Amino acid sequence: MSNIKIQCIAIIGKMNNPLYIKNFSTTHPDLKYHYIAHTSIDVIEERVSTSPEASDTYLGLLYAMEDLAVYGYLTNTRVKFVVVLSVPDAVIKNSDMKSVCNPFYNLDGKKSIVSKRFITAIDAIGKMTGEEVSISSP
Amino acid sequence: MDSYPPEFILHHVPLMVVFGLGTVKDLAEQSTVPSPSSSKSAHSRQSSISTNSTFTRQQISKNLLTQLTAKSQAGVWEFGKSAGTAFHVMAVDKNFQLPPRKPMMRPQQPSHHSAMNIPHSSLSPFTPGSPVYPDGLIPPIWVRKHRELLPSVVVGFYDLWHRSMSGSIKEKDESTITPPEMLGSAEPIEKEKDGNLAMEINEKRKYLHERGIRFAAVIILNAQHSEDPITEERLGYIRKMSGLDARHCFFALLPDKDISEFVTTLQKGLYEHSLKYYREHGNRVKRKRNRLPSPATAGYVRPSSDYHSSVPAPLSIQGWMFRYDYKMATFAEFRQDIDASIHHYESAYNLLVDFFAPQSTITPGAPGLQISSKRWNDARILADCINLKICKMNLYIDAPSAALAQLNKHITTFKRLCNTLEIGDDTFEYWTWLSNQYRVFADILDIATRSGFIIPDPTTVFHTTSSADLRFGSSSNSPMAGSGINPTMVLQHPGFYFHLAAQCNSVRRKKFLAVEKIVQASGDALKFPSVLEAERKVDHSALTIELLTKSYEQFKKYKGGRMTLYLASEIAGAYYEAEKYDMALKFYERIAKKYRKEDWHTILESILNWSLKCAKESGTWDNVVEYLIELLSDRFQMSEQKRIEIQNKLMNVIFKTEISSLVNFRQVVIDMNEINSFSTCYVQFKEPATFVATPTPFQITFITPSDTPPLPLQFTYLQLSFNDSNFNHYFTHKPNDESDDTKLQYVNCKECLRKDVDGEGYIWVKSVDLTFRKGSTKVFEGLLVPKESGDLQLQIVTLGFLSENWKIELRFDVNTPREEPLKRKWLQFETMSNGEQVEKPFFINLEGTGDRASIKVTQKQAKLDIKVNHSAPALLDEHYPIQLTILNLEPEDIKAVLKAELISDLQESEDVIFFDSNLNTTNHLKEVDLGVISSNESYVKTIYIIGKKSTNLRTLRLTVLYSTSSLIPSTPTPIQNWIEKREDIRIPFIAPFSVSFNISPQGEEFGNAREISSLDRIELHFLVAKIASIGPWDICVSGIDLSLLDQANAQTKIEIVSSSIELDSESLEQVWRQGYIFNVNYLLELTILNDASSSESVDIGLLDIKWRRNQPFENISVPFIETTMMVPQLQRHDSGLSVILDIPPNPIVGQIFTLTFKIINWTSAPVRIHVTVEVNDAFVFSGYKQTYFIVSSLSTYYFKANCFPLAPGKVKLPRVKMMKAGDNGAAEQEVPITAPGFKEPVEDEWYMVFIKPKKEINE
Repeated sequence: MSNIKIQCIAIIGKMNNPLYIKNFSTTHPDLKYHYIAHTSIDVIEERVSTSPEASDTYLGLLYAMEDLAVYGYLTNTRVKFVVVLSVPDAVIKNSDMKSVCNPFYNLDGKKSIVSKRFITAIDAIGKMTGEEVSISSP
Repeated sequence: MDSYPPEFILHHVPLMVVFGLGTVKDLAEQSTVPSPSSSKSAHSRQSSISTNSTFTRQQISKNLLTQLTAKSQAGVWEFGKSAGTAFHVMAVDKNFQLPPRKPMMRPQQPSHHSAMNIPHSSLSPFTPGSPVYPDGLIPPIWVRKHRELLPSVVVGFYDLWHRSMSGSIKEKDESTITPPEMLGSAEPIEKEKDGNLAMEINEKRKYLHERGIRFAAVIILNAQHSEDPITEERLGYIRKMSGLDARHCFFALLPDKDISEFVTTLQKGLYEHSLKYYREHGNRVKRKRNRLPSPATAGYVRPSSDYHSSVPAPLSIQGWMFRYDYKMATFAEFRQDIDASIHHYESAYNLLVDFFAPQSTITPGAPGLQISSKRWNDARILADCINLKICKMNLYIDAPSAALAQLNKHITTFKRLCNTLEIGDDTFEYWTWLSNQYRVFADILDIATRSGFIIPDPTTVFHTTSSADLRFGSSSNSPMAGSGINPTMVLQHPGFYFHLAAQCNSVRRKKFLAVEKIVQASGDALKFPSVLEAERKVDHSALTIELLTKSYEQFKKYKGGRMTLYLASEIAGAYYEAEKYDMALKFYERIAKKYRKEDWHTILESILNWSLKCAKESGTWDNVVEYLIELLSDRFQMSEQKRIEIQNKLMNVIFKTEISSLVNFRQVVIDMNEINSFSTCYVQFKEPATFVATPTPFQITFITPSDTPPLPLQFTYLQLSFNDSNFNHYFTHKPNDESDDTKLQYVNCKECLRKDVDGEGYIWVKSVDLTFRKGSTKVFEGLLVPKESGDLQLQIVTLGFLSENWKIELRFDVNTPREEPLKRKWLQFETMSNGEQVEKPFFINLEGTGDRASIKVTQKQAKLDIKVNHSAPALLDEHYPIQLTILNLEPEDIKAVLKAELISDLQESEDVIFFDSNLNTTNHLKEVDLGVISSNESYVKTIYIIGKKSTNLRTLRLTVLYSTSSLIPSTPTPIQNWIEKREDIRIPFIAPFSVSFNISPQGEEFGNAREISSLDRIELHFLVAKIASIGPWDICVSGIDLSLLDQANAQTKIEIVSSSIELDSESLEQVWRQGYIFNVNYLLELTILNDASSSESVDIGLLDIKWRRNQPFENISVPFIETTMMVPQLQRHDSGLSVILDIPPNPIVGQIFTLTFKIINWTSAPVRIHVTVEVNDAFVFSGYKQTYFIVSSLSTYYFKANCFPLAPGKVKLPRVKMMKAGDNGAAEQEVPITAPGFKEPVEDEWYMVFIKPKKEINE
């Protein structure tokens, strides 16, 4: 688990416009994650179109590129959360991802996430959504 | 993929060798040359083609061969698990030889230490001269031996001899003469032939059997054979003699058999043997491997150090183990045992990988291969190929994760190895290799998907494939807690791997360039000159672009639209690196739109910056300007310094002539709606509608964001384009003296001058401040006066730069709807009570949202009242006065013009309308100038209309056009765009009189003293005109006059003898009320001159009535007018005879009286007249009841009848009928009889007289 790092968290609006993109990476420029977030829209759109009645709006792994794995979550207001992880080689648990992708997700188990990265990320998400809600909600 | 030996990467299927059908080369030749094959071995048989068989032998051979080789096209991706019974079929010559086998099939002593002494295969590392001697692993040629040379099954095709072939055989003098007539049983010659054939087959079978190869024979029969009863027997004989198994190894092909079906059966039958063959090979190798000592226990036995330098050490046990594993894998692959094959390949791969380590882990202490030696390179190729095989086979068996795991393992393994050996990721060679690995994998995956492999959906992937067997994988996964997937284990479509390959290639380029730099800087003798030289020849960018393009296509296929944009940006980057700026620009332009549309400004900024560089490099300055302007937008987050830099760049391009390549004056139009603008433009007309000639204000507001433009930006001009170019405005920049830093600026653009501006035509011009500062709102207020009704629209607002070299237009299309329409706002100054404006302007909200760039212009509602006063109904012909009152309700004085028209249904109206005394003879009035009408004053005028002839309803249409007199400086006035007021008045018309006429002939007295010239005929007629006044109005009649018309011919003449009214009286002056009837009588004398046949109808004349309405209108005197009526024509009955009855006056009962008929014959022929008298009760009549007489021409005859009245009272006279004999026997014709003074009888009536009684009643 130690190698898993959140590289970027992106929130994309209903019209596929970026709402917020935060780069946690020290190696890659913002631009790369903008590109990644943008391309992930394709996959999200395809996922949603192939199984529109999917009960879970957690979309799981969208795609992996180079050493980055892109995960997606779609709210029912069509706001997309995209999380980019750097993973050398490990199994990423869906439950972990769900909790990152959706700040309102309740963990089933009692196990808490210890990783500092996770916490900062969630903090970031929390702070950020506070701002965004006022903008995005009509 | 092409860089690897094909043997190592192609998929293996069992090899089948066929002969007796010609070779594949023959097949190609036969298709063009129809002559028999020149193949010597098949000669005798081929010459024995039966001429009447359905197919010739050649055709059969060709078909067979085609069918057999149809599936043997060896490819990288073979049939995999579903291979079925596919063979790789090679057609060879009949006398083909197998490659020489090694002298000893099974080494008696398996010890490898003594192996040097026993014979080995020519390819063995033990054999000097072998490519792998003494320490190589596996050469490609070994694989080829099994793929192409050593078959698992051999099939021979033979013909059965037949008598019909004898002719040709004779020529061949190959056999003794056979009596052709001998039939019915196997003849000696046939037996002999069959025996030979069986022997031949048997030999072949034995030869192959020794090598463990299964042989099958096919006897091709022709049509005669199938009819021949002994054929069965002969075949049985041959089979027995040749020792072949009937079920799988001996076949007879009948000529009419379906060849493809036969081929399938044949291959199915032999497939099992084939598998067995490879299984045996596999087992043999397995046994050998088992006999090897364990490398770990055997340890590393290094022969003495003397060998160190020159002679390489022989292959280690680990090497042998690898060889055997590889061979087992190959044989498993041949028999399509994919799982086993993967297992062996993986084992071989792991052994092989160990060789690369400096110290072997499997054979402790053994050194690895020497870097970059031949064996090292061979081994690397082998490792790559085995990796490829494993990946591919995992795809065959639908284990995508395993395939991907193998790739990852291969890459991580070699990455680690290379890095430890310092030939890792710092060298371009490593990146070349890595790029190649991804590319090959992508290729394989692409081929696989095209052959039906489906890329798994990552959401459904739950790979239980443990990655524990990844020896070099860093995964430390414990048993999975919760569901989840390893992203690196999810196989994705080939596009991703092509992309990786492209990226690696891009790194390779960078590494290479770095090396080049060092080499050139140091001037150092090259370390690896050949490698570097070769690398120099590589077009890295082209390769990167190729890989990216492949990836692009894959993503396109998998609907990754946005990913393709990303790839396009990378392709553009590669083009940029390759200095192909035009291409790069093309790509950037193509993708920028999408990012702009979806608001990905960070990406767009990057693209714009790159585009800017490309455009500069390629000298497309138009684009440079456009990019710079877009980069000024606040959507891009950048430092102020950077912004200033951009703005300065822009100003330099425009205003400084630093660009040498710019020769022509350039005009650039930039649609600001299409790009991110540094300013937003809003347009408002204050009101939604306006009137013609009304000053209409509008405001154009530019809002700049708080951070851009970083420096004040001065435009050269601001242009407004309306849909009516008459209103176009053109504002030039006039520097404002005081530096205006206010956030809200009001720019007064009213009071423009109309000027001819170069290139723009006549437009409204003014100089205003066109400086744009950041964070400010600039409002331009203008005023326009619409001239005509319609929609007036402001279409485009253009901010422009004009310099020596440039004309740059930034166009804002103000009619494009906004995403979020704002409330309409209007900048206003507070107006104080004393009318002065306070300096500080402020915005007020207007109704509605969005922009209002267009305004509806209508004519102003006329504030004018038209009143009419008249007394309907009007009478025909009269001067009907209508009093108009035009009341000006406008607050201003107006100038007005009147138009009037009298509309009726008549086609040709004779109606007249006039004004005052103006003599107008038409039914309309054109533009009568009414002059100036003061505000709230009225203008009163009377117009007259005269309706003629028809009593229809008329409509009087009054139109008043006016304009406020202040706007009309001078006369004559243009009517256009004046305000119009129209009023329609309906006026009924009735006739004033009804006149009826009665004309009756007047008798003449016999013996009239009047002398007349002999032939003139004079008649008197009495005309009564009965004039009734029928109108509702009293009428004053001043005179009635009958004016006689000139006669149409000179033969008649009419005169008024007397009249009931004074002919000479000046005025009659009578007032007639409604219903009043007035009779006028005239006695007319008609003279028919000298005539015998005058016309029957005679014009009389016109009756004129001079009249006017009795009650005068207020203050209006109406003249008398004349109404004229036509008197009906006088109708005469003229038969050439006149019969006039003279009835004596006052007959009395008992007194006889005489009726005298005066008959005048006007004609020039005598007329015979028959007379009949009908008597009635009132009279006694004397004379003939029937008689006749002849009237001579132009003479008078008197016929008399005496009557004796019997009774008093009004009685009918005796009826006298006079019939004129017809000319030339024509029918008789009754002659009309007239009695002057009596009413002419109608039809059966007759003249009535009053008979006085004899005595007075009172007596």
